[in-house]
Order: sequence, then C-alpha cells, then structure tokens
Amino acid sequence: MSEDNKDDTSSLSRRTFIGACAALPLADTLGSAQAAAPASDAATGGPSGSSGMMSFDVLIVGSGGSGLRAAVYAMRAGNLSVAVVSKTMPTRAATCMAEGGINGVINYPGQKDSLDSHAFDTVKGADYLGDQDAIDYFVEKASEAVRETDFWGTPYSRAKDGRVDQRFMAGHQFPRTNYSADKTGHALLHSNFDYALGSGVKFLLDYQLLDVAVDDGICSGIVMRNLRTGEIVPVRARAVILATGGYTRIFWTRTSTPYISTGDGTAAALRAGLPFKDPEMIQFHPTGVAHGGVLITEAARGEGGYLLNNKGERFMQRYAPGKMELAPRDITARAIETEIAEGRGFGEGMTAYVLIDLRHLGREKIIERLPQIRHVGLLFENVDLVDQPLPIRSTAHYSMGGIDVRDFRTMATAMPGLFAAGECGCESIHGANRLGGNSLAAAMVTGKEAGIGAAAYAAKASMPGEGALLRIAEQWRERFREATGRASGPSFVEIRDRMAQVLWDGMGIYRTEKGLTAASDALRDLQKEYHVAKIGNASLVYNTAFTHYVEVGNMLSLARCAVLSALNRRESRGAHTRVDFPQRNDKDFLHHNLVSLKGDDYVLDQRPVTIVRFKPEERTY
Amino acid sequence: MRTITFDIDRFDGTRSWTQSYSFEYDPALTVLASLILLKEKQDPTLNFTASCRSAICGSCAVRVNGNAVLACDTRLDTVLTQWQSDTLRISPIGNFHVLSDLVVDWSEKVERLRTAKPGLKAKAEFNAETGCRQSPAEFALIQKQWDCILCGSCASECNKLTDNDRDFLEPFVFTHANRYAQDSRSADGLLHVKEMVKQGLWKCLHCMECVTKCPKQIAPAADIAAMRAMAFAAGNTEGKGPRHAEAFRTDLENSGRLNEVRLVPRTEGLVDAATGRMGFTLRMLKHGKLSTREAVELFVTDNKPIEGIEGLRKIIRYRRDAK
Repeated sequence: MSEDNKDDTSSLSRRTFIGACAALPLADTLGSAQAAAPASDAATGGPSGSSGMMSFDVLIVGSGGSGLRAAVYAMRAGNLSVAVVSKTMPTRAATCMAEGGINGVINYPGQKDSLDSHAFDTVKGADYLGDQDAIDYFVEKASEAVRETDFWGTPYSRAKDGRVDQRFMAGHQFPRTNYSADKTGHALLHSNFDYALGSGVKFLLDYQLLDVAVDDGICSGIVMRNLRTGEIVPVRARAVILATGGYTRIFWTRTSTPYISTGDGTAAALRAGLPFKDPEMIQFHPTGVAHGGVLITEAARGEGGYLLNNKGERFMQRYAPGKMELAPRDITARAIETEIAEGRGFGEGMTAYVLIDLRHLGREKIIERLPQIRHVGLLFENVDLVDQPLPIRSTAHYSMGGIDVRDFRTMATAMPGLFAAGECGCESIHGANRLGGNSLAAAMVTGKEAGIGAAAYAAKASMPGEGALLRIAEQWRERFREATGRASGPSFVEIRDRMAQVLWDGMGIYRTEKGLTAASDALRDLQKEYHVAKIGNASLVYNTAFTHYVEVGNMLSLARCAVLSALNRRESRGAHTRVDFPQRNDKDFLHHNLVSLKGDDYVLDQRPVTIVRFKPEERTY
Repeated sequence: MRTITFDIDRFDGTRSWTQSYSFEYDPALTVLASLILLKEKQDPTLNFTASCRSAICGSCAVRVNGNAVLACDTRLDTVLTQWQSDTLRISPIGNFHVLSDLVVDWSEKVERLRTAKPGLKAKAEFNAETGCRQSPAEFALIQKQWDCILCGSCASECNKLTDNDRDFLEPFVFTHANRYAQDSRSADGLLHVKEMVKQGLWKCLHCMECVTKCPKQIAPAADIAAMRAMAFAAGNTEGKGPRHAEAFRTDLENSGRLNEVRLVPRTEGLVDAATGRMGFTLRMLKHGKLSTREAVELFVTDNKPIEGIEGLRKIIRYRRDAK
C-alpha cells in the first residue's frame, strides 16, 4: 500500500468513517476478499482491494433529487455497497429551489389528459430538439414517479377528494403539474433524502469531485478532495453515477441557480473524454428578481399574475395572445427583453426591469399559495407582493444540455461504468427548451433509471484498476501545491464575474455571430488568466477558496463549449435565439451538438435528433 | 462613511481566534452578501457555506451576536437595528462541531436524523402504483413540519443539547419524526414516536430557543409536545417525563396552579424525592419564597382553586374526552 493511500483512508475522521461506510473494515484488514468479487456484501462496502483504496460498487456524485433517488434504487438492487458523495450537506442542491411542481399525467376520472399529450407538449416545448423515444419513456415514468413519491412520503398538496392536486404550467395543454404549495422541489428533495436515510444509504459529505478516472476506456472511479483535510482521495467504483446538476452558474451574476451549480460533473466527464451535448441550450427564466436573479416562480403566472410594462400594459398580448402570461419560458423571456430593449421597461442597462403584479389575486391567495414568492420579493426588493408589483427580469435558470447520455433507459453514457442523471445529463428530454414542471419529473425519472442501470451494471462488472486513479490523484496534489502557492496573479473571482458579463452580453437571450465570436475570444483570454490567477489561501482545512477556484475552471471550460455550439447553430430554436438567424432551420440544424475536448481543443460534432411520432412544425402558442 | 464591523469567530483546524473585518455600510446587503463581500474583497481564507441564497437550502445558518439566523435571509439593516450597534459578532451555529470558521460538521447530524426513522411507511391500503389519498386538512397537519430546511438553527441555542447531547436529539430530528407520526398516510405513526421516546423526547427543557430561532417558523417544541401526547394516548405513561406531565395536569385540574411542593414527589416518586431530591422545595424555603407552614399546607391541602376553575376543568375534560 502506498503512503498516499494510507493517508487517504486514515484522513477520514472517525465520525465520517462510521457515518459514511458503516461497519467498514479498516482498509488493510479485510478488504482484499472483495476486490475480485462483484456485488460485494453491502455491509462491508467501502475500502476494499489489496491496496486499501476506498471502493464502492455504485458511487453517486451529487446529493440532489436525482442523486438521492439513484442511491435508493441502487440500494434496492441489494447486496451492493452504495455511497453518495457531495461537496455539501445533502439537500443543498438546486432541486430544493424548484417551486412550481412535478409533471405527471395521472388520468383522474373525468380528465382528458394523456401521456401522448404530455409527450407532445414536451416535444413542442423542446422546439423539436428533444429525442422523442426518450420523451415517450420519460412521460410514462414521470406519471409513475408522482405516485411513487407520494407513497414514499412526499407531502403533496391535495384536492378535496384526497388525490394529489394539480396546477397548470406554461406550455401544457392540461393541468398536470403535481405540487406541494410552492415548495415542490424542497418537498421532493427532502422526502427523497428521508427515504434514502431510511434505506440505509451512506453519505460522504464534504468531498469535491475533481476528475473521473478512465482505465482502458472504462470508468474506474473518481478522484475527489476531502474538503475537511485537503487530501486528494482516489475512489474506485464499478459504476459511477454523476448527478452533479447544471452549469448555469456560468452566468454567475445573473442566475437563479445556487452557488454550487457549477457543472463539476459535466466538466469532469468532458475531461474524461465524453461529449457535452447541446451546451448552448441554457434556459432563461423570464422572472427573476431585478437584483441578483433569484427566481419568482412560474406559479406566480400560473396562479394568474400579470406582466406589466411601464405603460401598465399586459404586454404578453403582443407576443402570445392565446396564452398571455402562460406562454412558455423562452417566449416570455424574449418578450420581457424586447420590452426593455424598446424602452417600455423601467430603469436602464443591466438593472432594467418590468413588473409582475399579483395584487388582484388578493391577500389570502398570495399568502396561502405563493408564500415563498412573497418572501423572496420582500428579501431582495423589499416589496410585498400583496401591496405592490415586483420588479423582475430574465435570469439564467436551467441547463438543457449536459453529459451525452446514450441510453435513456439506463442513463448510461458511451463510457462503460459511467452514468449521468438529473440536470447534468442530456438524454435528451428537454431539447432546446424545458417546460415548467419537467425538471423535477426528469430528476425523479432519470435518477431512478440511473440507479437501476448502474446497479445492474455493477453487479456484473469487475472492480476496475487503480492505475489511472493514482495518476490523476497525484496530478491534483501537484496542482493544489502549484495553484495555492502562487504569490501574485489576477483575481479568479474577477475572472468569474467577467466570464458572466461576457456570456450575458454575447450568449444571453439574444445572440449574434459577432457577439458570440467576441465571447469566444474573451473566454480564451480568461482561461489563460485563470491558469495564473492567485488563490490567496494555501490551507488544507476546508479551503473554500481552492474549491471555488476549481469550480471557476470547470465553468470556463463549459462556457467555451456552449459558445462554440451557439456559434455553429446558425438558427433560432427554443432558448437559443440568433438575431442574425431568426428562423428555425430544420434542414440544417435538426441535430444535437456534441462538444468534446481533444487535448486543449474543443471539437464540435453532430448527431441527428430522434423523431418518432411528432413531425416538426412551427412552434406557436 | 458609515463603517460596519464583523467580529468573526475563526478556526483553522487547530487554532481559534476572533478576527475583525470592516466594510462600508450598504442598506442593500444581507448578512450573507456581507460575508461574500469580505471573502472576495478582503480575505480569501474566510470560510462559510452558502448555496441558494433564498432561504430554502439551509446552508448558511450562522450566529449573529449569539443567535442563529439564516445569513441569506437576514438583511444587514435588520440585525443592526435589532442590536443597536454597528459591530456584530458572527460565529458558527452552536451545538455543532466546527470544521473551519463558520463551517460546521453535518455528517454526525445526518446519522442522528436516521433515528427518526425517516421515510413514509404507508398504510396497507396504499401502494406505489397508485399513490396515497389524503385530505387537504390532513395535509395541512404536516405541511409546516415539512418546511424544515435542515439549517441547524433550532439546535444552535438548544439548552438541552448544550447541557448534554448524548441523551437528546437536535430539535429538527423531532420535527422530522413528528411529520411522519402525524401523517395520515402512515401505517403506524407511533413507530417514530417510540424511537423518539428512547432518544430523549421527555427531556426537552421547554426553553423555546428552537421555536424562536427557526427561520421557517416551525415549532419543534410543539412537535415534541405532540409526540408526547401521542405517546401518552398510546399508554406510554411510565417514567419521569410522563409522570411530570401528569402532575402538571393534575395540579391544573385541581386548583388551576402548580403545586411546586407536590410536583417533585409526583415526578420522582416519593422515595426518590425523600432521599435527597427535594432540593427545589428546600431552596424555596431557604430563599424565603415559601414558609414552612405554606410548604406543609401545600403538601397536605393543595392550592386554593383559582377563580373560574370550573371553566378550566371543562377545557381539560373537553380535550381529554375529545379523543
């Protein structure tokens, strides 16, 4: 056993160790029997193998909705050691911020809704960039997921007859969004966490994913950093599920997503050789508070809120007269930006805004059904929606793109042993634009399928080799020493904020060849600066500065992929609006963009979209 | 220029110290935005955790002048006004092991959460294929408890945990247990209650710090009370906790006031009380809060009933017989 490995294992505090690996043998005592045997006894999961390197049958990275659900289903396979690693305490994930609801057709008596209708709305919402076989599978599983989570304990709001209540969300023909007040994501995340706790899932908290290791084309595990001790820890796994969420934080200063949504898993997969699919497809939510971009959920419009310009007009009349405020997000976001651009907003430049008005709903309804929205308004704008309309503007919200998933039934990628679930994966269900309520549904569905898929794979796979893990771990140790040792250099925090500005200007709601080219050049320069930036903290103990430095590096890389794809998609589709190519062009662009990393170069490839039943037609509402 | 000072309790894994940081007052700042400002403009070694910045992820609870708040959810102006001072002390939440500066260890707490037996074990009439049924009123009974964001604020100033955390749990664990105990979908709500009885359900000191500190206005103390009532109703009346509660109820029904002299023997049992646990009564005697004659009288004849005792008895009977 190498000194490094011995340190890695002993670096776990006793509590972490017990908490995370319950009843593990200490590395060098038992482990070896496990190395060869697939499907080791769950009770002895953890450090195994002759070298004492920490090992698991199924390792899940990320503890949001999809990661927790994957963990439960991997556990259910039985007889496998399963662990969830996370750079935070579980439940800090973006899932908790989803408010409106989870889509799933339930077919209550007297309803006209159908799976076909949900599938069609999703396909159309995706502006035909979604893969229709994946979507058909998704809507069926989404319906099941709602009932199953109800059975697991998710506290859903109820209709009078006791069934799960449903509401309308934009872009849907029927009310099929099941909800828990305006905290549906929170309710789902915590009920899944509870269920995972009850199922005996092990958690390794305060570990940052650094890289995915590949041995002979097979995923052999991950290299992570123990935030508490600073140690770089290689972990072997028969199967790894990346459930690390989206990368929308690339718009750092104008996004609704949590600080931790930095695309760590997507960036690691990219470095491991996997393509990043449709990275240019980033959804802008039309309604974030004017200061900072925290979300005012679609439920505000779903419950009947008005969008008003500086003339007091409900301006959606001009853009979607049929749906008004219930038009899909991309259309509403563009409408708001157009109103501002044409001088019908309030304020100027980056601080301009329009208003959302709920006053006509009445005090009682606002307090009862939209408490979270009211709270956010009070906190960030000091505005009580009961008495006043709230300043809002578009905000970067969701990553439709992600790690290229090749099998939507198992969430397997092209690399054996590596799976992706939730927002970090791209199947593709959401295509060029995700519908409200489909993100929680996708988290629940893809998490479950990944858990089942990875467990089935792990049961048959042998424990992979340690070579790549040891090599990558050593590289990261050196990187930490070098990076934290820099005595001077530009501030990486400023690099991050400049990246956000560059992207908002060049790759925001409206995009042009010129703007994207400028963004591309600027990102290249920022990346150069990044590599010599000063961190200013060389501590090993919970060095959040270095944690964030790694995140910024990931985001710069992902942003370059997004700009490259956006430049080459010379059409407008869904969330991607090219002012210079305002029409959708199915002849040339009905395909997914796939960006891979070859050395230091970003290389673009394409794959056709899967069309099953719904022929592309013009998307109007 | 108005200057604000944060005295931040720091810890680097081995060394503890308090460091002062000053920054320019800005009415638009929250406590979290202030911390971010300090980290990004002044000191990259300052550590804290934050994620959603909209009071729903629970990452950023810290103590301001010894009281837990969610940093993202607290406007700087609010605490400056509350404390009438431009200098605030910022510390990690209490009753947690500190990892670094304002960062605390959650892994131990995650394990303690498991004792609540979280996760719904639904009634036999329900299944995963069709889900459950629950009336809006039944949903309303558990809705508040589900607002818990696991920020740790309720545990921060919990006096019982500070005194001894080996025979008691963080208030949020009790809230978690109670949300399954009260859920109409649960096959056996008592399952969670019984676990909590083992884990110190009767040891809450009723200091109400958890209720005061919860940023989501949950009342873990009320969850504890609700589970005590469930345990009692199910016949779990043995032990000092239930006897103490029963002694309170008896006093209220008898006279409408607490009889401090009888309370101790009733709770502890006459023998325990006589062999040295009469401290409370003795201290009252010593400090002149009670004369010997009063003590004897209280023990023998009890308090004189308060005015309107009949109404109070009616309320008690109503609650008791409503079941």
